[in-house]
Amino acid sequence: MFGMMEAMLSFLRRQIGLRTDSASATGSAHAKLAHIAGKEIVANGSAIKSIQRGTIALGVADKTKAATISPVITGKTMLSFLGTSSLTGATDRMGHHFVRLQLTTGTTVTAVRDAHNNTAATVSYEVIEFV
Amino acid sequence: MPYYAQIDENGICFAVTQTAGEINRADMIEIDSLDESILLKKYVNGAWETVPEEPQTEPEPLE
Repeated sequence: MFGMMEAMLSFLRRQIGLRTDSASATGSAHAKLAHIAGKEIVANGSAIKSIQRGTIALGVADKTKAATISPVITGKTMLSFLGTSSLTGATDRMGHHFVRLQLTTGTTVTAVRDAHNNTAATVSYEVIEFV
Repeated sequence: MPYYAQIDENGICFAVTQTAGEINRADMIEIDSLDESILLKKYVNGAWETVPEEPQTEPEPLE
């Protein structure tokens, strides 16, 4: 009887552990909780590390412009295209409207278009970095 | 999160950005908000001046 109680206590200590257990993905329940609590996504309360946003203006003679942002890890970051606009005179030639965006480096968002047709254009974006 | 206007070599603002942190660069000017009205304006002595538009030529036809 006494041996069985000892075995059960030992089992519980192994499975539940102590609050002082070091964080571990394979340890006791306390160790696993400490491991999860230490994750950045839990500590921040969000999977998003940072959000940056901006607008780039391409002048009448510009086909590309590069804006500087705070450093991000490109492999954990998405770039959202929020739209572009361009005021055109009496022309139906639209090449200058079609602006692309690229996260060219961890600190640079680049707007590119194939033609400017002497028309300015603006393009807005958001850069979302995940933990 | 700070806001910046970025200027080119002629002092013309080509980007406004809300960044995740402070950026110290000569071409990044801290501003109060994501103010798009300063785009394509020239930064002169701490103020934004409208640049006169050059006369536009007829666009070349696209293929």
